Amino acid sequence: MILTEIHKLYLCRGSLFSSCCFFALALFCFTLALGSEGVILNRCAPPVLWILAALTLFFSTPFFLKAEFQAGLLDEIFLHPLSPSFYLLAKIVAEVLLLGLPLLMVGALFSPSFSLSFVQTAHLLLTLLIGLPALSALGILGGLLTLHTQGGGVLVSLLILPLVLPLLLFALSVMEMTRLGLDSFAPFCLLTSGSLLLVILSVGAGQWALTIAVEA
Amino acid sequence: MKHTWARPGFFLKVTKPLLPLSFAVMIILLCAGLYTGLVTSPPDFIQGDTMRIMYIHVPASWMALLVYGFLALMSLFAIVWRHPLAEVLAISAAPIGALFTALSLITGSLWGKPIWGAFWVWDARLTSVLVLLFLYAGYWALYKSFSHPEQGIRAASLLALVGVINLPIIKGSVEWWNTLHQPASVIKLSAPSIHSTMLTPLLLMAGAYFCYFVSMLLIRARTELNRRKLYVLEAKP
Repeated sequence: MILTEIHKLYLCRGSLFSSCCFFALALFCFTLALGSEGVILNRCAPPVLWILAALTLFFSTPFFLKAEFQAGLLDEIFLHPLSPSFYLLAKIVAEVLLLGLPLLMVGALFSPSFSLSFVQTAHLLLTLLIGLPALSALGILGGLLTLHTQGGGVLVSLLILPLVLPLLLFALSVMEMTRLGLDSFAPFCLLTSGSLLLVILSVGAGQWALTIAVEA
Repeated sequence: MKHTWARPGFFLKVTKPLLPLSFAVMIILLCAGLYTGLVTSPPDFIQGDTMRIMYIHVPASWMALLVYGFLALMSLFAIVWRHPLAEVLAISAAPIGALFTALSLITGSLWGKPIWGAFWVWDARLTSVLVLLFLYAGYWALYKSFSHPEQGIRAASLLALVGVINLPIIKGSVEWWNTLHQPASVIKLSAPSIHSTMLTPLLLMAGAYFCYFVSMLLIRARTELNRRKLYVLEAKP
């Protein structure tokens, strides 16, 4: 099931590529706009990377869902013997692999330009890796809710960003602890549990949203 | 038996006399609350007369949470039983709740300027109430972005249910994160830590706000029901 999802997502590789380019270009703009002072860049890097990654996922996920819906693939899910939540989980895995990992690589490439140390980069990418499933799940939920509207990515961000805030705060406190050289284990656990909770919540709600979207 | 109560026609009939009643009670409570709060109650020992903003600010915050709870409950009814009255009540409650949230934020920042020295601080309670305002905004935006209102209500109801996780965060924010905003002094298990001369106007104002919510909800819901009736009548021939 995961393989079919990866294959379906691979069919939209053009927009996958443009999402990655958007992420890279926005990061580049930030490094230019913030100036060349290493201290400022270092402090701004984690929030900038996190917010841009969230926005990239929220802007691109509804597009993939819309493409699938127009191809009639969403109706097929209800013919499958497994519960639709497995389909949603497979979709999250596929999206993290095909879109999340390239974003992480782009982020790693840009880390020297934000004058991040190796430990900081590793921690930042780890927080992003933990947060990505939750971001992707929320993006799918938002995409399913707005499937029949003209709003697109901006509307999805308005709906979903308030729910991402706790995750963002925990991730930033991890980075703050790392910057000060303290033990960041406690916020790490909070981040992981928050991410898991959001995945469960949005898969549960996504199942209902899927029913609503297909019935309508 | 309980289905009779939820029939839209019955709702229209019952709420017709209820509406002026709740409106009158609101006026009386509002006058009494404002008089006792602004004139007869004593000024605070430390904060002086500035403290009187509390009589407007605190009930608005209570109502913001209460209305969201009501909205979420009606959304649950709308999703599970697809009851039209629940849908109408949910979409009628949302703008009123957003109004209370905005009122709470504005009066709170006006209160914060003289006491804390800043209009806005990134305190846990303030941030979570701001998130509540965005949830109301998202609910309304999602409902309005559908071309068919029935679809919009179902999608928005789901969003309202997901947003419920914010309510315990707002309530707990003051105790979990030890920040600037003071903890609750009225709604708690032990006796309220507020003197009765200040508690009376506070409760009067809360009652007035509640009656305001009821009257506005009834007006909006009746309008929406009548509009749906017209829509059906128009579509029939």
